[in-house]
Amino acid sequence: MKPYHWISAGFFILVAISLILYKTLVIGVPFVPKFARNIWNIEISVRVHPSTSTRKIGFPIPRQSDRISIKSSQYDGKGMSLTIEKTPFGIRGYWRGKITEKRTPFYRTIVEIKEKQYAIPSLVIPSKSDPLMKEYLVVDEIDAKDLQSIKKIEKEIFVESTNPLKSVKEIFYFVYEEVLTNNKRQWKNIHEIVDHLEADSLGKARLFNILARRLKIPSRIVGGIILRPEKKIDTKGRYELSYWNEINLEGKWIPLCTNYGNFAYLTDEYVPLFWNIEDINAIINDDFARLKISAHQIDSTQFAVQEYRKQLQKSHWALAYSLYSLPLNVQSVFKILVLIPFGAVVLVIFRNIIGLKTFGIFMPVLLALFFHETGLLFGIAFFTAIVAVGFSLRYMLKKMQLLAVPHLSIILTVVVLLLCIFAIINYKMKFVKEFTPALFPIVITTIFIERFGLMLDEEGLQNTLYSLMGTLIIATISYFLFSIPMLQTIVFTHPEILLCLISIFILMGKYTGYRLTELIRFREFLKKES
Amino acid sequence: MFRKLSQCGVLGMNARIGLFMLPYNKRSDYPKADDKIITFQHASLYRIPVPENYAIFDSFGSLKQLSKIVSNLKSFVIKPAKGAMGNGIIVIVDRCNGSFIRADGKIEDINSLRYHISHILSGFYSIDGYPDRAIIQYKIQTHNALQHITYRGVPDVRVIVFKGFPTMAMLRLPTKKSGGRANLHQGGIGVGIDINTGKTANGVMGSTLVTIHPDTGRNLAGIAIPFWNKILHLAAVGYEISHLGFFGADIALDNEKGPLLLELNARPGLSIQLANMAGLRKRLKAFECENPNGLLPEERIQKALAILQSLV
Repeated sequence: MKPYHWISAGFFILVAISLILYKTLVIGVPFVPKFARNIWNIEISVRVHPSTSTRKIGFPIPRQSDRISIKSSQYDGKGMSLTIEKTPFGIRGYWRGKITEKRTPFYRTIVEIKEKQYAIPSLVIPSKSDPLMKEYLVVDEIDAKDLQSIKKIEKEIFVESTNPLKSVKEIFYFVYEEVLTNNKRQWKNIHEIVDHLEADSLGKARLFNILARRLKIPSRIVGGIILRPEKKIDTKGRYELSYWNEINLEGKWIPLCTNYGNFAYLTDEYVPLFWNIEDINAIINDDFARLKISAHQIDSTQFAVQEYRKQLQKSHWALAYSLYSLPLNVQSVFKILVLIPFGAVVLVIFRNIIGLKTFGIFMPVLLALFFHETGLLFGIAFFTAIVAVGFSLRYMLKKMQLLAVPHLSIILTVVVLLLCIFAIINYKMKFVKEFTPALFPIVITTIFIERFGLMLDEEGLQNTLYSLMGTLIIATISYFLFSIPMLQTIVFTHPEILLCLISIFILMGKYTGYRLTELIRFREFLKKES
Repeated sequence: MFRKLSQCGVLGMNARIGLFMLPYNKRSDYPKADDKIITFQHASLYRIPVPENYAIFDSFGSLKQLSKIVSNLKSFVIKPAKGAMGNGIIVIVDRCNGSFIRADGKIEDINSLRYHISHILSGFYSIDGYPDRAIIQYKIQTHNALQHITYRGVPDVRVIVFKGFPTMAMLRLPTKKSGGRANLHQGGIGVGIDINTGKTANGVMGSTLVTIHPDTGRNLAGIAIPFWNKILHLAAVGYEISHLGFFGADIALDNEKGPLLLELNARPGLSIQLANMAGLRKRLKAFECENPNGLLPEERIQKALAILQSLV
């Protein structure tokens, strides 16, 4: 090892590290793009029937919160104008205008939804006379029948109620567990719910609301959509309205859902739209309009990539020239290409430091790429099957005594045909999700079959199996390396990291120590007395 | 454990490449060792005896000549000019009703020989994978002194030459397992040779030490290799032939013609250390400061023997 080896190795590492540091610390772009997992495109449209007068049709709009972040919004009034109004009960949009034909104006917004756990105050003192909370404690006048059944429940569930938080939980468990959710049971009266112990989500939310308010715990009903498959009402992504509750503990609104049993916790499926309103028609306020809410999940990586690209372009002109500026399908190719040198690191370690033998130099890395595409077990099985078929074919061809290149070409053709047949069968039977034969090293496999056969003839089964095992071991380990999504993201974001690999290769290229397998090979020397 | 190996001065694969092949062997000199035809051309300039090449095939068209060429030959060898590690070599020891009997007993006809040669020409056995030439060569008649420890095939002597100085030697014996070939990684036996006396010691098969030939049951140690000085001379002149600083010379002992240079190997194997139970790195180090320029082969041999003697 001479100084210039150290200098050149150090140089590459230095360049890579300073480039990355400059980007992250000086320019200030994040080290890796943040991957927002749950991005939805929510469309709230109103189908408006024509009438002669000027109309004002209201609709709810998602509100920014610590769970919901609004990425972008757009709308098309189809001839109507839009006004937006912020109220304590949610954001309202209003379509205004004269409509002479059937129209469907829409408001679209892209939101990222997160799950959240809410902290519950340990001590809750009820009935503080907070003027802001007054309206959330009002219990509407209820008739005798309803009152009777409510009192019956209260007797049942509040066995010893001294702690209001405990009582509110009792109500929650009662409504969640004892009252079945059935969307066809749309009762008007509370006693019907209690008698049947069955209700739709609005009914359950109302029951909880009354019970909580009677306990002097501020409570309100929340309306919105829950993005669960069973809440879809058509195949085009339309969702039904769902209702849940919020209670105010020590000045903080804490959500709970008696449909799915979430207390002080909401999954990333809930999108609240309006508060303290039981009837959506009170918002629409038009007899000839129908509200439709549909939602579609957006490919989040694609979204994150676009966001990151925008961020890069904004921060520095030079950063506009990154891999992120390429078209998405080209990007996905480069995502895997940038990992190939990492496979080579595994290869160098196993060949030069451990001392495994392989078929061909880069065969293991190419195989790992293929495994990455198809999955490990399937990849190995598929490769083995192709090699087995090719090998038996070679055995037959040997008797025909063809010249080498035509002989190889026949094997090549059969490998291609096998891929065709498999792709067609796979399309029908779905062994693997997407089969892209492009990454299958066709030519290399052909040569592999030939070398495998030659090696069997020349060096016997044992040596051949050693080489085969070496190839598969390195391919498998590279495969696991390729499967680390973080590594892929980091290297794709900062391809200069590959310069560090050059340094590693320089250092390993000057390694003149023993290989691990040489301990076995020269074990007779170890036995020798010194 | 690594320390034990380095105490013994064992040369590992990485060190062979990084410390000796890369610094001492110029890339442009490789063909003189890799291609046996070129080796023989240069050898003839130095009057080094080599086995006679009956014919050289360099094109598919010339394959038609094969049956004419071999019609008068009782025994011969087919070799790729740029073969590596003994691959692609077919040894024909006898004829029978127009068929050919191989050293390992298998029977071949003229068509399968032609087919094999066409594979050689395509470069299947070639060290660099490029198209190659095929040689029809004189088959060595095993020397009487080695007959009793040879199972079929032909034994040869491998001498490691560093900067023109012979540094280590072994006798390579074919076995049943190696199919009549003398290559160690195919199951042949390597027997250590005291380079000063030319006498054999114990051997190695695979990675384990052996004292008798498994197929003939005869002792391996204590055999005096005939023409030892001439063998060393042939090996040393390999330096003039190839200009390689580090190579292995393979020399066969013919019963009538004496030592014949078979080939030079720019990537000699490392099992020779097991055969001699001596580290090659230690020996090579002793020659690192020596300058071979201006020394005749004989002078280099004398100097090498003196240095090796002092090492023990």
